[in-house]
Amino acid sequence: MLSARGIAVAFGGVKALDVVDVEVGPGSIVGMVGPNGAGKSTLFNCLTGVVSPDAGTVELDGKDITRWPTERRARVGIGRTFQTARADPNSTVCDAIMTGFTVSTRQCMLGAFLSSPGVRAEEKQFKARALALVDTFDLGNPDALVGELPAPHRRLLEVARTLAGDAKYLLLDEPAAGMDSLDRQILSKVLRQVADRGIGIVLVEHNFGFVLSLCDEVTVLASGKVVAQGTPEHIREHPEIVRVYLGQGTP
Amino acid sequence: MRTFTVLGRHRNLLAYAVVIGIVISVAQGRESIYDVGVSILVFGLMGIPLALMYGHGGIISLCQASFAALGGYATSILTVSHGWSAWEALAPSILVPGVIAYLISRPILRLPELSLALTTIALAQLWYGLVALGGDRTGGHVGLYGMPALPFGDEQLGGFLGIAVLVAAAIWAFENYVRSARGRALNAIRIDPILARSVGADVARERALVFGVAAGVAGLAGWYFSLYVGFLSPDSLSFTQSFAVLFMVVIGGRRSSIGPLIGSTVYILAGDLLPGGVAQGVVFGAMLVAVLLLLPDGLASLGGIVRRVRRRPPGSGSAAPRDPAPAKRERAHA
Ligand SMILES: Nc1ncnc2c1ncn2[C@@H]1O[C@H](COP(=O)(O)OP(=O)(O)OP(=O)(O)O)[C@@H](O)[C@H]1O
Ligand SMILES: [Mg+2]
Repeated sequence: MLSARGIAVAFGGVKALDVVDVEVGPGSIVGMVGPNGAGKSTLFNCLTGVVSPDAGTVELDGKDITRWPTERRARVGIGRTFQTARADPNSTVCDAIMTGFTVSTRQCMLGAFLSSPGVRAEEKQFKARALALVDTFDLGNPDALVGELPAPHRRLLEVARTLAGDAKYLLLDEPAAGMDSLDRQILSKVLRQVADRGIGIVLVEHNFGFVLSLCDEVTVLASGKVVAQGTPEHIREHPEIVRVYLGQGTP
Repeated sequence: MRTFTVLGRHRNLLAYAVVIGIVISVAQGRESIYDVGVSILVFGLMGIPLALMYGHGGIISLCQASFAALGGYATSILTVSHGWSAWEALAPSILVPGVIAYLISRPILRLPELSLALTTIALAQLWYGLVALGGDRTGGHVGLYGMPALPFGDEQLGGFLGIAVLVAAAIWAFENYVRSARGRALNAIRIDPILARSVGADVARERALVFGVAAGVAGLAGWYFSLYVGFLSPDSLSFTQSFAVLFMVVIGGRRSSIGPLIGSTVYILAGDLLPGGVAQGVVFGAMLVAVLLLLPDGLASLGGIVRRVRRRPPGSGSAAPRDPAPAKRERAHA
């Protein structure tokens, strides 16, 4: 269980998060929706240690990890993507995915310089797994440069890199933004499979339809506050949500 | 298949070996060529780890020659004053600068690039002062001499082969490292520290280790240099040389294992051909500006550019390398 309790973050006068509680258990997909500036990305930054909250705690399986640095959280199984794709545009698709193995590598520095048999074996295994991920997400040529990929595929690449890290919890910041229905289909199929393996997912997404169809639970944030929280059925009938979002006819 | 990938990974090493072979065959009877070759290779040995550290790790340093000097002084003091042999002084010449660099790296590598550059200059000056004021221990301004000869035989060819093999090892290790998970982490740290940390990289540790290794390899260059010349003074490996090494790395290619050698070749040959210091300054300055503007990855990247242009089918424009992914996608998910 990855949980945030009573998280508050202010940037200057702006209350980005105003006492928010969110949790995700193994194998479940939690959707996070809300207008621009609602605090969704800031919440991810708190969960991953990029931003330290002014108040509140972050817990992983009952352990308080609020003060842990980002890399330590990554090593205990918290993986994420960023709202703006961050992979190096000049590296190859395969290398960009393989960056995700940083968290699990057992290569020591000397071994890496000497290309020891252990390092070679591990690299071979990483390469095979990265190529499998290229296939899963149908990213085409693994040796193409990241910069040559269309933006939606770059987002799939970010998800692939995160999956390479064998995280127990995945935090995906608008992975489906700008995607056509084909890419969306790939993504939701993969995310469902990943969740079925017992991995917990938090998914930020603007498309209400996509969230309601994919997620087990949904949190609606607005101006740093939780407006609604519950199952998709519950959210679908929530009067406030119906008025603000569904009433306007989402795609 | 496997041989092919190993060769692919080590094509720079192969090209280097060919060049060394050519130099040796040309140098028959013209031994002075070895002197020039040794200068190029000693600078190359300082530059290759700097290329890893700067080109891949984004860590700039203007004290690489000072670390070489540390190694050189460790060698000189141990051999001259304590009677160690050249081989016995080898490990200390690497470890002394390596460990010192590792220890100071934690605080200084947190600095942004410009502050780090200035700090490394300050370190170089500090080291210069310590050596110059070191009295009998360091030979002061005069320097130290009387080191044993290089342990590579009496022929000039032996000395040349010695440094050639050390440089070959550096190229080999460089190519291995950049293709390992550690190398990918190093690059991720340069491009995007937040991304690097969220895939689990310990930014401070990775950078400190690479800084330490780069200093250790510079120390090795210092070991060779002090024994080759048989004399070491504060000016032998000073700030001027540190700046030259960075210049070579940038000119030749900071991301390439042989970029530093291309750079040191240009630097040494142009330095021999051009008349005075002023002419050199003008030419080197113009070269630096031209490369920074036109070829940010240095002369070594010319090969890759030529290859890419040739692979592109004529008339298909810049989008040519795109693979036929859309067709495949439709087939798979229709
Ligand atoms: N580093 C920062 N410095 C100052 N203000 C920030 C910072 N990061 C976020 N904010 C502010 O915090 C609020 C919440 O931002 P956040 O990025 O978390 O929203 P979001 O829900 O992810 O929005 P979007 O849908 O646009 O991505 C916004 O008002 C934003 O301007
Ligand atoms: Mg956001």
